[in-house]
Amino acid sequence: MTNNIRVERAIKNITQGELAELVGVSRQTINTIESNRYVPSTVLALKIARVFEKPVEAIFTLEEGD
Amino acid sequence: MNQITSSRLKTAGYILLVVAATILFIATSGLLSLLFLRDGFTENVQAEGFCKWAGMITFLLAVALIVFGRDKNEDGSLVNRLLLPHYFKYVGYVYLALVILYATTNRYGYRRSTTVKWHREIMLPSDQTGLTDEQQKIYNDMKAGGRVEHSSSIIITPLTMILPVGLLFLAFARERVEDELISKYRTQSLQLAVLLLFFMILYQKFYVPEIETVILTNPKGVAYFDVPGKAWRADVLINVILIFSIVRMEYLLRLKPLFTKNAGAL
Repeated sequence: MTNNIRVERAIKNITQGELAELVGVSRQTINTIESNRYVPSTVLALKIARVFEKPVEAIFTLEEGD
Repeated sequence: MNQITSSRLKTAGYILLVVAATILFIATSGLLSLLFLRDGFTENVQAEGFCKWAGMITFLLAVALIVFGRDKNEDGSLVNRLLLPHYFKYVGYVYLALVILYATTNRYGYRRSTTVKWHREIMLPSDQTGLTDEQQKIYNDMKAGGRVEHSSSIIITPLTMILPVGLLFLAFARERVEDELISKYRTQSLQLAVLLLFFMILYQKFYVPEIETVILTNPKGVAYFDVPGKAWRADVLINVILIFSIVRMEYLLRLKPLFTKNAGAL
């Protein structure tokens, strides 16, 4: 699964730390999600999508083989 | 049970846990001997025995309250319910510092003898070795002035007995921000620790003797007694897996991000 959190952050002009604080996780967690090393839970994915005011599918995308 | 009562139970559990740790520390650190000094050996032993029981019962009660109580802000997941508050990390560090200080300075420090020595008194764990009446009779007959060719200390030290309490606090205390990634790391660390434990037990079974022989000689003759060998005890094993788990968590959370690509990305 890929995501465009980095792009969305840039648009919204917020740092990893600020996003982490908004969704209640550590900055490291946001970092691992952004670099596709960790797939978040449904709850966390929904929280992230809510921060960017977009549907989850607009932030996270399934890849071939997922 | 309503939410407030349940939350109070959990808080009581946390307090009891610290109380239990303190009691266990007092029971095994030799502090009681300072109260009773040389003339009060029996009272000292009795007080230590009482403290050990009190510590264990308090510990069990604390764990029960923590498991069955529920914080107001808990989401009900099993992992969250079993973890301790973040401040237990600091309690754990203080506890470890005290344990190591006592273990390295007091008279109950670990003693081991591998050379031939003359002992005025010899203490054998007859209840563990299962000496027969006949063996016990021979042993009693020979031990006065006897020569011990091999002996291992059987004194339980604070370092090995109550170190796990401090390590437990460190391993089970929440991070400041406890999220799902950290829970995943924690689970992985404990799983790897269990695998390590399995390997250690396997190695021990194959290569480390569980029973060794003490040879007593004096002018009356020679006697042999089986005593526990160098096999790692349960407290040593639990220390190893807790330390492994803690070190891995610290590496993943504190050290690894420093060398990870985009670690400081804004």
